[in-house]
Amino acid sequence: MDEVLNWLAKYGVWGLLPIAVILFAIFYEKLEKPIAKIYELFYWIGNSWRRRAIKTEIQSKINSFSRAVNKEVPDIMPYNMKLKFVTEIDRAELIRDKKIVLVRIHDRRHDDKNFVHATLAFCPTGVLPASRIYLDNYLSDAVDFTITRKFLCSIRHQSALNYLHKEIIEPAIKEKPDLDNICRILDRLDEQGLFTKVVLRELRDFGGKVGTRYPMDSHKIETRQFVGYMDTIAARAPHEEVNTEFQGNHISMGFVFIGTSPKISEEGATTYLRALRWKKGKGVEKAYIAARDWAIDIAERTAYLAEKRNLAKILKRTTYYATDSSGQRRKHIIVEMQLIITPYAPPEQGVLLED
Amino acid sequence: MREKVEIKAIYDKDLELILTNLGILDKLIAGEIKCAVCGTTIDLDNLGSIFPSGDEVSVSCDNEKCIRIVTKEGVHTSSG
Repeated sequence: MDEVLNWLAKYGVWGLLPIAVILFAIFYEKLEKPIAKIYELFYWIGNSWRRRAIKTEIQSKINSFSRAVNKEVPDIMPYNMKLKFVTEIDRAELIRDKKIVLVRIHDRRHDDKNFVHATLAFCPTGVLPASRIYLDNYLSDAVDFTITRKFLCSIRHQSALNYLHKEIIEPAIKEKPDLDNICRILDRLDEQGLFTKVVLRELRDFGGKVGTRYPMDSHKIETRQFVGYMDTIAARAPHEEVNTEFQGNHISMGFVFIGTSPKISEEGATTYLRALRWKKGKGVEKAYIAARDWAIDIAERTAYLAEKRNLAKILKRTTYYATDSSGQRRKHIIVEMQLIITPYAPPEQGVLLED
Repeated sequence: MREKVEIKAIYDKDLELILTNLGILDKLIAGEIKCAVCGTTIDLDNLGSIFPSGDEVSVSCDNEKCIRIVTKEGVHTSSG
């Protein structure tokens, strides 16, 4: 403590400057929001401040959302967005940089458009970067629309949501009716909490497994079939029997739904452990144990026993609130279990992701 | 620090200056420039993006579909 006081006595406030600079650099991501607020306060000073205020506002909100999504499932939104205003560029410079695209950002009165255009420009590179080339255009667009909608909902930007629906999604689905169907599916999955936790996670792993292979129609067909399978899972009525496994060339997963109370009171977790063993025997690589309300404890017990008996490894356990098919908001759990570690699996498979 | 995806943008107030530097402002005002994607005539109100196309400067209208077609090809990542 004395050393710190001596340092301050010797160098005064200037002594704190390098420390402040280092802390600023380290915590810049977390400081983005307060910085945006400061620029907003001085918005009236002139064009340069207005430009910075708009830039930091868009950037901080998109980056904060992207970090939250990426925290939920690592590597599905691994990048930050940097909005760079170009103030001077000549013809030769523009033509030299073959890939440059200058997107117009309107003055504040048009901020609905700004948020939507910036997010949609960011999504193709910022969301599922490793898997993107293996998705067909419809699924790719539907993922971007769903992520943009989630982002605008998270910042409660109702007018931008209206703009997204009326000016972008509606005209797009008029042209491509199939896109409407996929958007509805992803919306339903999102409402049930399965969009990021299962769909984007599996699509991320798909990119990891396929690696650097040349994108082929078979890849696009498999990812579309997987989304179709997820829809049957999301749309199933309570206690309806559906196929709980999806085994494609690269996606291999299944669900274990913790069922009715008579079944549990008779056999406890045994039935579900048997289901996991059955899936493993069939070569299913990953299983998601899903339950809600009172069955959450049984789901956790099943996962615990499965790991203890070396049947599977727990990758992630998530509890969340979501709306079920009858429109009720209920507590859910989803436990992701690795049943088989494959040689072509992404490196994080087989170890605890969150470690 | 996470890697960054850089989105290059033009602020409304700088638009005329940039179009002048690129040598297309007069043509644009005269209504001689069309959207490279959908063919709509571009003016200062509906311009959505500017990008190179071969040895020419091209523009798209502010229809999101056109901007997306252009940006899907154009955005790239940088570290730092």
